[in-house]
Amino acid sequence: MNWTKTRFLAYGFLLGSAGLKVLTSKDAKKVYTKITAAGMRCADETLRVVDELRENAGDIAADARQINEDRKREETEKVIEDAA
Amino acid sequence: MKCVIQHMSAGRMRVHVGTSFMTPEQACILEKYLLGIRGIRSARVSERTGNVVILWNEDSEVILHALSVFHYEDHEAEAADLSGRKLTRDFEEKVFWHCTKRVFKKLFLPAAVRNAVTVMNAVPYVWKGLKTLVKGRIEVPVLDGTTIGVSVFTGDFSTASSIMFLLGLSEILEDYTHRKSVDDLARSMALNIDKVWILSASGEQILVNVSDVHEGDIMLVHSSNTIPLDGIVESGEMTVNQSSMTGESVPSPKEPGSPVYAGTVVEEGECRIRVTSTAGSGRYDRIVKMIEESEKMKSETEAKAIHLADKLVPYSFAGTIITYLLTRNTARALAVLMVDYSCALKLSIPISVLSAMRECARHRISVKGGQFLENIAEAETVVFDKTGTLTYSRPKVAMVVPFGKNDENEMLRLAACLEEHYPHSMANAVVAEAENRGLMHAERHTKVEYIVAHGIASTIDGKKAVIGSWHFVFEDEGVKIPAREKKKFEQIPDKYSHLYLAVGGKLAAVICIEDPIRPEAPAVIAALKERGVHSTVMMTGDSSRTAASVASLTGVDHWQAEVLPEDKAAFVKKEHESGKKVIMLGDGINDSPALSEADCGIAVSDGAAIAREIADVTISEDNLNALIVLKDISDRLDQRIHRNYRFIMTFNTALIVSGAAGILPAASAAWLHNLSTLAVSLHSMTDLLGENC
Repeated sequence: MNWTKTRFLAYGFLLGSAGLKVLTSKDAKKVYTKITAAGMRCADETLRVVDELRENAGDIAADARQINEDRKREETEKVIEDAA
Repeated sequence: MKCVIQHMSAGRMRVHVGTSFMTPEQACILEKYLLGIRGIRSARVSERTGNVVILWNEDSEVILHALSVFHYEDHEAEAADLSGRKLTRDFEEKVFWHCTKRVFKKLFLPAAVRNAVTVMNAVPYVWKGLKTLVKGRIEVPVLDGTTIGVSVFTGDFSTASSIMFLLGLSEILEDYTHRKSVDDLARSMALNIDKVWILSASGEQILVNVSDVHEGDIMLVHSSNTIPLDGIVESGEMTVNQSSMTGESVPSPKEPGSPVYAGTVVEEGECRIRVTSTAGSGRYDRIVKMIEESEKMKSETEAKAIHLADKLVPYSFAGTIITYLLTRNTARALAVLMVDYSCALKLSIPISVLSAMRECARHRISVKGGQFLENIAEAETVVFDKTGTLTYSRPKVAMVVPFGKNDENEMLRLAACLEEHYPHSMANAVVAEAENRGLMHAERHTKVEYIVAHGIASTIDGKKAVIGSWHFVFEDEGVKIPAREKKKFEQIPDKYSHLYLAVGGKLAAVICIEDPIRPEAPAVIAALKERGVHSTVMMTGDSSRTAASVASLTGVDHWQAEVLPEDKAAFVKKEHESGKKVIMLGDGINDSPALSEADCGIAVSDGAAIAREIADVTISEDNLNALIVLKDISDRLDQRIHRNYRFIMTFNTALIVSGAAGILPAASAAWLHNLSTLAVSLHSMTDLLGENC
């Protein structure tokens, strides 16, 4: 007996009769809604993390620029001291 | 509001505002509030993180205080700002879902289902390609349709789906950039008037806030007024400039029964208009529609690049066929097919131009089309108006010298009465001084006649009253100086601009106005010269004395005084004939012919409404440095477009050659091509100037 083919036949039969009804029932719809809501929350959270990453990158850039400016200032001050 | 400082460094702070969830509306309110505070250079609020990043100039204490007293309920959001923010949110969500769907497809769907979905997605692209082909045009949609169709046909579903993914992403990008640019532009062109003259029930003319006007009220408008609300003309005749509505620069005549639109400017004449709609948002929607329909958004370089892109498509096909014939290898021929210059050009260049326009908007410069940025980059001549452009648009009355038996304050009162209807900067100075001295007046005059660049004439108590320039009052109107006061007249200091007031043919008073030049003007002129502007010209209707001193202080190359509006336009035309591109800066009604003749007309925001209507660019900063920013952005945009062009050509040619030679498999060639296109487009969206500008 070809079990594979029989298996698929059985699955199809189940799907066609009871399965489809379950999948489109009101309870199933509630599950889908919850999953979609969770998906949207996930999207919002991801986008929030992206924004936060961007802000943190801005922080780092600002601090780095500050460090460089301080160094430059120290260098010029040193030069003035030597000349004075 | 309770805030927590997340990060602080010199000139930049990041603050978390509030404790709970922030809505987009609240983010708009906060941003608007912060931008209105002195000392804050820029403020960007992200409603997702609840943080605001503030760049500041002077004193952080002021800002901290402002944040602590802030409450959402005290302020209202602006609808237009909100639409811009929502556009960005939509865009981010679209990109997220587009990428997520792809990841989901690749990781979770079984192969058979995945391929079926790919085929389903491919159908629209192939269909669009066929339709374009049927119309007889071999263009980019045909190319896309062919690459996708061929991939699916040969069973290479993975290449097909990756091409569609990247194409989809590019479409989202382009759509967003286009819409955001239109939104920014429309917002900057939207209405900013607050007061209007209304006919009250008793027949008096009163000045009220625009927000207090009801439907059915009669408003009064005359030359150079901006019409604040939609309405229908009740009586009178006028011509109206509707270029911000319809794009036509020819004034449209209005008579009783004609409809008029909010935001258009009266050129000549006056009317009584019955208000039909008090809402303000209609104008915003109309501007958006007008911008979308006008071709001005595209610059010449853009149009040429797109034309070139379309022309190259048949060559891509030819190249594919030749490769196949030469190598008898389908895979290599396909590699050539998948790499095309056209979609990269068509995508990255408009995005560059649109992003540059948006960057200008962020610097509070409103540019009405990409063509003008291109013209600014190419311009060698810049023409400046004097009053209001090189000098502040708020000159001050220094002193009033009365003649005859007239009293100083009475004369000032009379002058203010005449000058208050017209938005010339000298007029504003007179009105301001009268207000300062507490001189109120009733409308004693009859119909006021404004003679452009000369002055104002009217009748008071039966006698003719005129106020204006020397040329107008003495030469045109033949006014006489009272005999015994000739010495007094000659002693009036030369360094001021003079406004002459005469009643009944006799000189009544001379109003001395000081018009200091903007402190940044000399530096701006020098900076322009460094950037390749060979000739800076100042043209003014004012007298030679004042013009000479202003010219020497600012360092312009040439100057002309006592110039009439037609002369300004004629000068611009002459420069055109010698093949040069001209930028014109002005703020008054007498600049409008020259502004429309110039390749790029720039209006300073404090100036006459009609100058702003006709101008191609409006500078809203109360500072001429915006001109340098504008020139820098234009120059760099030009460089960016050429760099993009070169990159696209060389990179894609390399891909084609590698694909044809068999070094690179077709799938990789397609992937690299689409990825590079996306990369170039994304890069074109970045700022042209650094963040510290």
